[in-house]
Amino acid sequence: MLQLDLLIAVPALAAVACAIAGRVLPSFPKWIALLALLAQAALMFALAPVGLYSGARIEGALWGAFGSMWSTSLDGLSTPLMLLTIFIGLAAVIVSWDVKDRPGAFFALLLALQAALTAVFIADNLVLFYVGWESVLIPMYFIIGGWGSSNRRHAATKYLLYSFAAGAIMLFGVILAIAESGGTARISEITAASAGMSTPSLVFWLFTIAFLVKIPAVPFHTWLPDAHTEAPTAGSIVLAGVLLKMGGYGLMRIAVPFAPSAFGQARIALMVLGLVGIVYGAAMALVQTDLKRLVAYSSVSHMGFVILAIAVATPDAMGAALVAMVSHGFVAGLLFLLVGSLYARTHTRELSRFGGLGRVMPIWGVAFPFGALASLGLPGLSGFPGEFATVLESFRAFGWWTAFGTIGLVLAAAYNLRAVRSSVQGPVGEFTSLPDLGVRETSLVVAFSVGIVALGIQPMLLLNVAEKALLSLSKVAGGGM
Amino acid sequence: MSAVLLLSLQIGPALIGALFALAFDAFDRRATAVASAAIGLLISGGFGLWAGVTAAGATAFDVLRVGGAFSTVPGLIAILAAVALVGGWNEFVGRPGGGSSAALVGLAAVASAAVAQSFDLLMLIVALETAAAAGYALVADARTRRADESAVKYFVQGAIATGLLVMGLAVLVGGFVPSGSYGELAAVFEKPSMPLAALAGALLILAALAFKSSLVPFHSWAPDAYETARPEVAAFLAAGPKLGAMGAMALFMMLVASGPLADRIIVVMAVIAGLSVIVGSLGALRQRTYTRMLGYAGVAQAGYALIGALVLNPAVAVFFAATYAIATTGTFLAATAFRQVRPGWDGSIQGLTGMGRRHRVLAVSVTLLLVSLAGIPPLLGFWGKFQVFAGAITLSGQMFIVSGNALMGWTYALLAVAGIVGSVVSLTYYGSVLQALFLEDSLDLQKDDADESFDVEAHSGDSPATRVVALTALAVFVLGLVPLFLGASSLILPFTVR
Repeated sequence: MLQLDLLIAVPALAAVACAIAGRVLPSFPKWIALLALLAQAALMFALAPVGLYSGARIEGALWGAFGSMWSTSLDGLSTPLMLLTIFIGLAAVIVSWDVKDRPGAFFALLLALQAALTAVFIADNLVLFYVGWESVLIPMYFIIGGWGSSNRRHAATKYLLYSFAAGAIMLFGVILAIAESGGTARISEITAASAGMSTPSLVFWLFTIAFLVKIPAVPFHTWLPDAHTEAPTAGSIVLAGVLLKMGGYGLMRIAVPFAPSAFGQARIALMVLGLVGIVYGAAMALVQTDLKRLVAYSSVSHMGFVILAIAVATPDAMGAALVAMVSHGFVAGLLFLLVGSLYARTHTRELSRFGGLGRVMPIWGVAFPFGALASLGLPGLSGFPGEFATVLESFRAFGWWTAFGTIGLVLAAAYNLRAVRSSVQGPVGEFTSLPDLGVRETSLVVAFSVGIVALGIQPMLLLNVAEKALLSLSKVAGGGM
Repeated sequence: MSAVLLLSLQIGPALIGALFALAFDAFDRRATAVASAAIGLLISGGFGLWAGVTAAGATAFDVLRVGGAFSTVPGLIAILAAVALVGGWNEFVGRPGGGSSAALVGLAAVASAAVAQSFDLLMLIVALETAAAAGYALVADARTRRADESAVKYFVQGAIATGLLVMGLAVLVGGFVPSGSYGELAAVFEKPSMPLAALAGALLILAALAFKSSLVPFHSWAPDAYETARPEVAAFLAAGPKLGAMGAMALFMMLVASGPLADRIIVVMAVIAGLSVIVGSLGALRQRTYTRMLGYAGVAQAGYALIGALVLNPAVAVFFAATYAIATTGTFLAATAFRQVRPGWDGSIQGLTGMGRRHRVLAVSVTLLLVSLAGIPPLLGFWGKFQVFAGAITLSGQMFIVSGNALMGWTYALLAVAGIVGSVVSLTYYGSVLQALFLEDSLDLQKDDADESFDVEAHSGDSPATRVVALTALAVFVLGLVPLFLGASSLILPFTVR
């Protein structure tokens, strides 16, 4: 299917168009970006008739042959994340509609980022995957560094060095995996030949360390609070909404299937990392005084559930990981959108300076508690099914150790409700009149909310698409001990 | 096409152009002089690249090879020399003697190309010394006190390298290969029993080549020379001669590291490669001056190229060196462009603050070049590093598993680790330039407004330096996309040794 190749090509070419158009007319680039993302969405929906949404695996048409690195595929595992990427990308463009500072460069970077992310999710070639993975770095570096808030230089540099160091370790893994499987770089072929690897543990950890930095797991997470907090709103939305998912996707697509035996030995370690992330992230979120930093730390906690679920590796747990990732994309996207719009109006993120915003900004005052409830895992909203199933499955596999994870759930309720109490409720703080969310922001909030409710009530929407891929993945991984 | 004709087409136009440049310069027709040197180089370069893709390997006059890598590398060196001349057009044309400088660049390009083409020890020495002599003169050509000093330093250290080279030659030619031809050299080293004297001879010649490619411990001249030379001259000196020397080194390595002494030679050179990466990276981290930082970064980059040579696949080493040379020419020319748009620039990285906002094309181009040098995909530099590391890691696995040679296995594994750690560190020092260009703090912006030197900034769009920098950046970007579609070997093909 040529559509797959176009999925990468469209935003990439549009990025060039944006950079040029920005010099001609500053209002062009945002329209180009919007059209490019809508085109991406159309391409995805055009794949419905060939069975993408009932579990088929579809391969790209272009250049499959003669040693080319360009081979792409979409299956049940990548489709939900690809849809999420497009949704978040659209949200990022719309939320940046008013960017006045070098709009050509800004939207070009956003589109370059989109192309790179797309390449990560649909690559069927390890080198293309790596190229996409690393190509994310530079656009995000400049988005944070060029349009971020006060401490952006430090945050952008830290992000760049952390990610590049992790990527360099992965490059080792990429080369080793290709060498071990007789020179092929096709992800599907390496997976098929995984039994013949002579150093599976080395391959597994070289990849897994890079993925754990991206997710992020706790000892490797320190880039995240800075980057998320200092990034402009669009940057935060894409960072939390999609970039973190690269790590989870990498584990499920590459690390586990490439070296299932090593994964079997590493499961306990991954479980511990997941649990530590859940508790540590939640505890840190509880003590933040900066609202954006609070949301950032909550990401660490939520992604901890994803690591835990992958460590369990039953089909249900893998499904839970996928649902939790998509859910976190919606919830964190919504929360960063709301925090960003608040920051744009008040130029502060200090929780103590807010209060009574429910009365000052009624729409914001409804939307934020909704996002907080989704984040704390209220049944019926998208945060619930993924994390609940994770705890359940993990209890079956690891027993009472899972109890630590429930501490995270309790803390999630605490930090989310604390955020709501000190911003939305209580006496009106120093901001007595603020313009409420505009039409554009409100419609984005509605779109996010629809996603959150739909996934919360009917997670099978997503799991039906992914079922086949998840079953075969968990069979490879030897799920459930 | 006969080898002699091909060689004449590759070398002739550049030499004739250089001679014309000298003649025109004598009559102070500087623009004509620089133009004739550049045109000669471009024609030579075009023939070289064309022959690199199409021609079969052949030997001319028994001493110089053509075809494959032996045409591509000379072609690329000539093109990069022409790029430096065109990019530095205003500078070459704008001062007395600029035409003869251009002629020197042309001569240095021909000599550096001959270094890479040499298939004979005596030819290698003649070519290396010609390139070096032109290099000393070009550094001193900046006519500042510091440039004189570093030219003398370069010269003195170069003289020692020449000494090593002559001694190595004496050992090898006197003791083993009377004709000096590479073909016989390889046969000698493959014999099962080799006296250690041959090892010493090979290492002496490798040490001299290490000097030319600025490898540790023979590197200390390079940062000084590149910092004090005129940036448009350094743009060529840091790229062309290094590419030539790396080509010679990769070829020589393949010849001598084949017999019973192979392991010893490789271990010694591996230490040099590892040290170059470490010392170059640490040195670059400490620099505050843009061109000096690039000089130290070049030491680390030479280390990667040597890793490629140690993989014993000359194509990999030379391809990497080529990716380095293209980007490096651009980054040094950028210093020329910076000076043009900001005449008060003191050469420091900090002094580039705010360029991203004021001179966008230039700043974006430099960003692409530096990111390519750091080895981030999908730019050209990534594919060079990818090939080098892939070679080292694969060979390490083969040594461990197939040959059961743990020493060599660890050697290659550690080289790959050093290389990968080095490229992470490289992002710190290349990144410091990106920070200065784009990530200015509000504090810096206030300083900008207060700083009067900014008011006199010229518009960058119309200078040839900026255009040429943008062109090299475009090349690095577009060529980086090629392997994605046509396979990893597509760009290496012209660099194979035929």
